[in-house]
Amino acid sequence: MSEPFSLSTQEKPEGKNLREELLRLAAEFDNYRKQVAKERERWREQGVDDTILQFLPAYEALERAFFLRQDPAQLREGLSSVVNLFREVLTRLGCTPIPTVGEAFDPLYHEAVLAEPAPAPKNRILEELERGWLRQGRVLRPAKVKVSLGPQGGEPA
Amino acid sequence: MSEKEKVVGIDLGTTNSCIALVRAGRPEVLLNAEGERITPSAVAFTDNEILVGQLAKRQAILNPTRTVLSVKRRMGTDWRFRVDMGGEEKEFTPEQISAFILQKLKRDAEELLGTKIQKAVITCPAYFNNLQRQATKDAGIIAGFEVLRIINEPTAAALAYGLDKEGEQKILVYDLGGGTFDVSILDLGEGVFEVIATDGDTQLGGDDFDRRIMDWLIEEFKKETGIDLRGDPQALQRLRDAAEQAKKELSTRLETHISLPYLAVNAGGPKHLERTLSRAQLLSLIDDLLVRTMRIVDQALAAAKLKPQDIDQVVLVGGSTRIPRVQELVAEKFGRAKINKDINPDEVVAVGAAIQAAILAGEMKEVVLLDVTPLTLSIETLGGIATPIIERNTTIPVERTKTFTTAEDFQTSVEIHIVQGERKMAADNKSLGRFVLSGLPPAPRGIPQIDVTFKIDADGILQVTAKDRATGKSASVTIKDTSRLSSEEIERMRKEAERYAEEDRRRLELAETRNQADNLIYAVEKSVAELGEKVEAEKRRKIEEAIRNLREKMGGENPGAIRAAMEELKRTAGEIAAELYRRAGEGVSG
Repeated sequence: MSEPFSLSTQEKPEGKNLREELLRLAAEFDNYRKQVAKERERWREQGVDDTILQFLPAYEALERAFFLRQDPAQLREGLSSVVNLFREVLTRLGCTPIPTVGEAFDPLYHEAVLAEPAPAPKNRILEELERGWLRQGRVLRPAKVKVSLGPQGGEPA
Repeated sequence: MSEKEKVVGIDLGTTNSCIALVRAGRPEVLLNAEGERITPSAVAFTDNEILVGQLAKRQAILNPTRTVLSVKRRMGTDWRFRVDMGGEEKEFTPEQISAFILQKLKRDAEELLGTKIQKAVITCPAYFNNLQRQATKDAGIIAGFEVLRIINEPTAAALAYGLDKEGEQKILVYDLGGGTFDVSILDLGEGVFEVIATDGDTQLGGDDFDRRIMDWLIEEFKKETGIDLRGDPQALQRLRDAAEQAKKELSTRLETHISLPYLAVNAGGPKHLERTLSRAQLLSLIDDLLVRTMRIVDQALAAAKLKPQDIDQVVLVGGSTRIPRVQELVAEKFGRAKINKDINPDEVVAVGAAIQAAILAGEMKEVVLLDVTPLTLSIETLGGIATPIIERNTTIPVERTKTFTTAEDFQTSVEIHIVQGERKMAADNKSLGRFVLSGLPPAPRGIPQIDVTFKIDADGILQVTAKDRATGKSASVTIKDTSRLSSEEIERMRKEAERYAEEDRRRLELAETRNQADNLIYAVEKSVAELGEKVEAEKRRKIEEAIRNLREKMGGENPGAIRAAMEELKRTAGEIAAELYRRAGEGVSG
């Protein structure tokens, strides 16, 4: 523990003392900043740990499905239960999929990977190439989509 | 006191841009509204709004005639962007388009900081001519900045590393970004940077590496399944993401696994892609491109009439310089010691611009320059362990105190041995000095409390004091040469610590386990002695046997065996030991 910062008014060569105190305070602040950065990293790691723990049951269920002898119908039933488990964890973590097909394209949520003329109105999403996810309202990953350019073809892609 | 004016540095890049500022003497990259440190240099016009950055990029292929990417390539030309906005035809200059990007950076930064930003330093490539520089400056003015200066990107990178403070020298900046490659050679004399050569390839960068990995995956999949994924946009999207991810992982790992289940389906059922890509394989995929960058480096050297040994410093810029092979190639040519690569290569230009901005605003004069401890300072404790008091990279002046106690009963003195270095055992570190604090009143081990204080002043002089809390007796030593190590020596010591990390961890574990075992034996023996005749002879014999066994294991090198023998002793001694062991605390210092 370092001494608390204090300024003595009795000491004479004030310039020198002030400079020393300034140095000490600046160094203390700098060390504090490093400590905060280290702590932030620790919290981040802890966040990752917590998330992994939530997903482990689903992974372990999948492994059991893999090693257990079952007929296709049983396997299907088991897998569907595992998918539900994953969905449950995602919901618990506040993750929801971004609606795509049939919606109007919105760059806030969607990334256009392909565009083509189609009977659907211009800017309507035709196909989802990769699902997008929201977490607590924030875009975790935008949905990658194919978008209609309208019946006339609109602009050339 | 009025709020100090904020001055920022901006890297206005071809593909991405970045904004930074100096706060309390330290450069910081500012996050944009989307929470990212980097903003894509993309601008798009819709019927009712202008999109900048990530949003503009996401809708680019939908709206190609109204989206501008890489406007930087148009700076200083009379190219005009004509666009229909809600039925109205509008025309924009490259400066205006760039200004939209700068405005977003400014707006987001102001939002983040909660204050207005008026002044900026903006960077441009070293090869920009006067027209292009003027256009960059005008873009800044249109965006509402007072442009303090336009500086070269390589100069900014050199400033970020503080190379301007190191006297006359020649600096080579190797900048391998997402889509472009630039080499610049700078001559630094009397604090002024002069560009003496530039070269590059405007169509070479990290995106090419991703494409090579993707092509390889497509070919492998085709060989295995007969399916050509090139016609499957959904599969291509997954491949593109996986390729980029694999490339990034191979910068820190020697091997990565690419797993894309249900990538395609044919008559035979679903097909999955499973491939392991090693760093060596990645290298064989992209080596020709990397070799090409080194040929361009040679051309730049030839143009400057310099040899590799004439270059004093090399600065790596751009995300792709994280690839270990890039660093190796550069090190082979110039020597490892000359390479500067510790600042995030995606941000180093913005950081340098921010530093230049702070210098121009007169902020750097007020900054107190602080030193850090290059290596950890520790004292030797029981079992030869180096117990850190001040960790490496701690800013000085600093003062830290830790409390220790005795390791033996009725010990009347303790020796404080001060060592410097990152190794876990004191003997592997550099010894800085030792002194003895004597005259301690005799007491059972673990009872005396000795405060050991390390105090380093602003000049790096270390004073170590040991003080017995009970008597107030103290002794101290002053060590002047804590930072006398050369940077090579410090680097060597750090490298050694990394190399021996595993071995050190084992030795530390062994030493710590032995200490715990020693404490346990001490506690058990003490309690047996105290209880005297209350302990049955048979029980006493069993305890003594367990202690003998533990002592024997402590002489060995296996911490697991020691722990097992400790468990056995605890079981045998039962409640007596458990209770007293809890009371005994930890014995240290020797």
